[in-house]
Amino acid sequence: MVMAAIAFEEQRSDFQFGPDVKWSELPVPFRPRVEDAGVRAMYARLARDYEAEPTVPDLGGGVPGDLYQL
Amino acid sequence: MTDRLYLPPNGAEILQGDIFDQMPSVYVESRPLLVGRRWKQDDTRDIWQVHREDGPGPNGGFKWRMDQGGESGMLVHAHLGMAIVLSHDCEIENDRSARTLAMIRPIGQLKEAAQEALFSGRPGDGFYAIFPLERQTDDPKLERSFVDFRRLTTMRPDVLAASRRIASLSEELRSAVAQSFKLYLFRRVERPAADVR
Repeated sequence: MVMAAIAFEEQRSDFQFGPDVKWSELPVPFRPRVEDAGVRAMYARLARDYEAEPTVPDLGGGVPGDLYQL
Repeated sequence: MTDRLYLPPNGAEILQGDIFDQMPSVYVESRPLLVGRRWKQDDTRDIWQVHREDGPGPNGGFKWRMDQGGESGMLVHAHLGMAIVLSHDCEIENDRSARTLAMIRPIGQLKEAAQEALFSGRPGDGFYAIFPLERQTDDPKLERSFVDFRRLTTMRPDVLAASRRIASLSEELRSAVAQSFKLYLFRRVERPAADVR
């Protein structure tokens, strides 16, 4: 699947995915660039930007102590 | 078939990007603030008294400060409608206090030109403060609408547990909403070279 995506990047104009390959299932760095307009293209662009951000340590969540009361 | 943007809620676990129906979105419109205190109850109603913040106040005074617990009955403007969970999954897992949701509004609340710009997907078009939600005709169905990042409401987790969840976002759409929210709050704006010092 990854190889197929790389091939797509290199031969974007004429590459055809097989019937069982979906863009959304490809690892993000290998997804084709979506350059067409349209709201779904915008979703793909934003998601790619988001997932390209550096990750941070997992600190869990919440705050210490009892702050349940407003 | 096009990949679905919205998926049926998956199990009991609430996740970032989940969409709820009939959720409160509250908004403080003006001052002086109005504070309600329960006065009495009959068979069908709670009867409250309302006090202006600049008035004499209720017996014992207002309880605004943190160490007084705050006022729990302030009168504010509110809608009930769809809302999307913005709290991070790690916060949902570990924080017992607060969940943050953004209002989802029907597309008809925007002028047609704004609708076109919002859903065009053109880079540099659209708006940072709102995010387009495309229509889906498969279950879970959703009409064209938009997230209003300006209209956030925080609530206790129990409020979500007692409410109706209608959909979860696809992984890609979740990431897109996250990036869009980040840009709304923390975008770095291009400036003409002359303005850069």
